[in-house]
Amino acid sequence: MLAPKRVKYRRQQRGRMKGKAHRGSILAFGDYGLQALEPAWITAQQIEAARVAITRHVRRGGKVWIRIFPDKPVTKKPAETRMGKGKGSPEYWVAVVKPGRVLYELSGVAPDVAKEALRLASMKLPIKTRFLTREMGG
Amino acid sequence: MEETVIFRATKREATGKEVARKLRREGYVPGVVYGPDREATPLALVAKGSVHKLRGEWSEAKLYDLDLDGETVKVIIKDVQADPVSLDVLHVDFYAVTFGKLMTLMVPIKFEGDPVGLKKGGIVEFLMDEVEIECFPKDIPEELVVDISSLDVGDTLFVRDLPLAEGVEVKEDPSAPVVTVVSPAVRETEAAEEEEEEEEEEQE
Repeated sequence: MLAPKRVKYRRQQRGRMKGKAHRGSILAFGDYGLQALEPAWITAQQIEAARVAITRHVRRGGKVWIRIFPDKPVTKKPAETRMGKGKGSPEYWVAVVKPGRVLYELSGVAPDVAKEALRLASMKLPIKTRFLTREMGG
Repeated sequence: MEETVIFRATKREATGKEVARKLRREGYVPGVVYGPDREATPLALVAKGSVHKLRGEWSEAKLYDLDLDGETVKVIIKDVQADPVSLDVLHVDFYAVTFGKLMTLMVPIKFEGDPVGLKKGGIVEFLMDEVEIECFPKDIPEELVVDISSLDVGDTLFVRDLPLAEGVEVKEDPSAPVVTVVSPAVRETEAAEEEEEEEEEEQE
């Protein structure tokens, strides 16, 4: 799974997800892409599950790019713990995704294969997504 | 070479996001036109279908006519800003060309044919889809057509191999790769490694 190698601070505040993604919102590498239409925290597990879904469907040929990286730690307090005593320990990593962000890119496969692969990938994600092609203005 | 598409626009004095938003509500698209012999002039484009189709279709290597309050200006499109979700065009930058003056622009590369290496199981990797050139406005090629059907597995086409018309000079590094046919063995090793990783993770 994707995770930072080292970080300056182990815990982060939650932040907000206002607005749309203006960076990383066009196809930069591949011919097809999967674009987020809602804001969300995408966990490293979800990113990996979607990647596996794409590579399994595409089989041989095709190249996949992951355009998001989970660099935000999410902390959790242990179960049945009273409030207080400081912030919990980091449990997992998430990528902060805003509407418009291209999540995955794909090239070297037929359009129908790409569409199905990215549909399967979108099933692993907690948000609405859209299939993007260069003609659409990716 | 020349397009029949004509963009109609009027000059505008007011600038800023409030003005831009008002224009969009009224059915215009804010834009600007500038060039070597022209001060940057803010304008309001009449937003017909042709404007909103620009996202994804625009290229610097097309000459258009811009009807600016009755004056026809030969322009290329330098930039198009669009909303990432609705895909509506938000702002257009036009560059007024001066015939007789060299200009630098990006031209798309069009690949023709299926490489020989593809039938042998090779995988085509396109590393560049546009290239920076310098030429006079009259020589602007709409696209650089490259025949890649002779590429075998392991072959690479470089910038220096691109077919250029007379008067067109490439500004990129001549040794930069444009398209390559990768050996399937390399990709299979990568895929095998990935599958191993997946299995390891599943075992964990």
